[in-house]
Amino acid sequence: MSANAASVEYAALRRGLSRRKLLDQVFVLVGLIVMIACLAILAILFIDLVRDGADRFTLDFFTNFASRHAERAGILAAWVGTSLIMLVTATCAVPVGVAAAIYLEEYAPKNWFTAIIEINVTNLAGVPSIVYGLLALGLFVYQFDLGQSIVAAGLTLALLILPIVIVATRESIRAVPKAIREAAYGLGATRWEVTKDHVLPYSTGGILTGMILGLSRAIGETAPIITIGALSFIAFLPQSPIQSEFPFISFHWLKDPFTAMPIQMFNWVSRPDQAFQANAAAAGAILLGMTLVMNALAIWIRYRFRKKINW
Amino acid sequence: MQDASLADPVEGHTSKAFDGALTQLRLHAVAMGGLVIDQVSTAVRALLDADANLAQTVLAREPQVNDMERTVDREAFELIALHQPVAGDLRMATAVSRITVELERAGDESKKIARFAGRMAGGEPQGPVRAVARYLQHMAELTTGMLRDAVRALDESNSELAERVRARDSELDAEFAAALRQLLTLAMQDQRYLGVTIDTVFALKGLERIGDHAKNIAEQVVFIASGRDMRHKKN
Amino acid sequence: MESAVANEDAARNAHNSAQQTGASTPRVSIAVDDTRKVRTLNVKAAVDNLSFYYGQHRALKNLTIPIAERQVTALIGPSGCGKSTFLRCFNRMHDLQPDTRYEGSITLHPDDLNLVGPGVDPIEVRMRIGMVFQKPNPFPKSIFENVAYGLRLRGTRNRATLAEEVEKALRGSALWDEVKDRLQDSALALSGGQMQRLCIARALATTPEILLFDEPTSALDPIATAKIEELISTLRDQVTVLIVTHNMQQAARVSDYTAFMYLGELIEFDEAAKIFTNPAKKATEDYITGRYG
Repeated sequence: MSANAASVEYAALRRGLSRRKLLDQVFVLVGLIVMIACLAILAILFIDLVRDGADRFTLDFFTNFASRHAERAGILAAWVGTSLIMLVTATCAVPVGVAAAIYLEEYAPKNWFTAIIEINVTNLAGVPSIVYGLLALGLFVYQFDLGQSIVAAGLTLALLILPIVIVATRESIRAVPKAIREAAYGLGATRWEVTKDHVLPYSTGGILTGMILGLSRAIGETAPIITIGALSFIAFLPQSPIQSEFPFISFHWLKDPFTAMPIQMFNWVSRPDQAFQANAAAAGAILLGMTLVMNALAIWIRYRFRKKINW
Repeated sequence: MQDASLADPVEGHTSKAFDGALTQLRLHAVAMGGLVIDQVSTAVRALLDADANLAQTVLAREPQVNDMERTVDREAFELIALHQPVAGDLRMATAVSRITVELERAGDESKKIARFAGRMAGGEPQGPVRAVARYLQHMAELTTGMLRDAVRALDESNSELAERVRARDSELDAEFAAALRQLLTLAMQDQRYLGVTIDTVFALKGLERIGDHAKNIAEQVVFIASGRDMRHKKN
Repeated sequence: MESAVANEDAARNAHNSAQQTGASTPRVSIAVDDTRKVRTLNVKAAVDNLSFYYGQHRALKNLTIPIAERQVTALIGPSGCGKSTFLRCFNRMHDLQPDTRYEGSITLHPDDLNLVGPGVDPIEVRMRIGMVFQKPNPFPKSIFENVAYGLRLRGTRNRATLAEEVEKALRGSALWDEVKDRLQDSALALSGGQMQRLCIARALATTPEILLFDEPTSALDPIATAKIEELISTLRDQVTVLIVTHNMQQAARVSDYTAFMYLGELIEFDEAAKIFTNPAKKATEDYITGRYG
């Protein structure tokens, strides 16, 4: 008697189980479909660009200046400009961002003033990039008289990615366990020694990741640098930072006019001549490729650092 | 016991203080045993040789035995409180506590024998004492031997030796019974020696009791070694 | 008639008698019951009416205890009794939190520095008092660098000196033989027990005057625990040890003096042998035998 009742119960258990497992699998399937869809879109985009710009993937493309003839037009000025701008952006954003993050995490007392600062940092991330451009135009280009130059562009983009760097740095500083800090304090370290000897070195992975993610965002920002006046037809390069005579380092390039990859693409796309579409597609593919490489680099760095330091 | 053992067993305990306390406890128990053995053999000697000085020695040393009981027992007690021994170590500590009691009582018996010896001394060996002198001698040898072996078994953790001590107790009992019969015969024949006879019976009884205490000590040694509780068992 | 240090008053008397001796190093007489003699010891740190406040909440109430030099003093008590709070007063770890306040004093001998005094720099205190924490927390650096860090903070740069001091510290914490061939390896590759011994070496490297242990073995397995307890026993000859433990048996095994605390107050302070065989206060007996709660 009871055996029958028991086996009926077990059957009910199994039925319920199969239904729940079915739902489980449905969810996995849905997730998979969505993910594949996204990857597919990215892949289609990339392949499309590559196909359209297939003719242009030659060494000349990288070493030629822009030209009225589509076949001869290259991205030399553009990628040099982008690289130099990224250099300025990184040099400005990282120290300021890291220092701000250290202050907020380690030194700032928990009062209303600190709360206001934190709110504003979050707000910075939400400001439309064109507004950064306007700010830069008024402040950097005219007020500080930096002109429509690489340094202005670099500073503008630094402002743009500052919140990214600050947040990434804060996250990795917070990940350093309290126990490590206590151990350092327990040995008689001052707050700065704790930060310098322990918090910062162990956060390096997170900081680098944040920096690269910020740069990979900045590399594609068009609106701000158009606003401050990137030129779209440049047939010369900024003066080289490395000189052959004393003092061997020149900062003249900072004030030089410039162009950047997104600008160049935009310019080519807007031309009526169909041939330039191929150029734009090729440049787009290269830009996308640069972004992907930077993101991959960020992931690899995070992986390497996580192997050494696993909280 | 299993065949497997820890891959990397250490010599003694990780805690050297614990090791030291255990060793110390055993040493002190054995030292107390040595003192009591000495008391017993001196008391018997005093009785057999009618030596009042020897008897006095025994009486003078009696407080030492009592002090040792308190000290060693306290040591065992604190070892349990502070080091939480288990298994063999716990059996050792508990057994030593019991052994000190047995030793102290054996010491008491030897004190009584010494007193009797003191009273007998100075005169000719009295009739009853002379009559059972052989038994006294033999019982004394047996008892002292049992006690010595029991203490040695404790020192060496020698279970077999302890078992042999237990076995000899029946021999001692038989000697006592025989001596008692002899004394009874004597007492019935000649009532003049009744007082001395009764005292002699007590002396013999004392020796028999010391043998009992030695047996109890041996049982505790078996307990330490194997965990078997042999008290009140025939074998 | 037994005379024993059974409660705060007696501890305070012991402390006061320590103050009154003319000798430069205060001593305390702790009388024990009739079977043992009175022992006189040097006092390393004298706690006098210490109270501690988190904001408005009073976490420690008028504690007075002598901490004997080169002895192991254990603090026991139920959760929330304030033993860790008390421990952390010795190296001013509370100063890392906002809104904390000390009253009373902890006088460190021989130079009579008040560890919790308002004018005293917490950094200086932490350079003289070392601490080992509950969960082993080595830095994610090499074994060598872990032990050397404290020395580097003090300005030692000479590589030979560092190597010598590191070896001494690692020997002192019974870890040298296990790591002498891999000093440059990451400290995180060690087992839990080895990590904790590394943390002990790290604290020993700077020759602290008092070494504080905050439940040092609660995260370790029994064998590692036994090794650390044995280590603490041997450290006693070099440094004064103050240990907080929620494991009473550990306090019984390891300590010379034990203090029982409850709700921020000191209930009883005496030799460990006395506390664990015949405590004077019923509250102590209840806690130790497990009748508490």
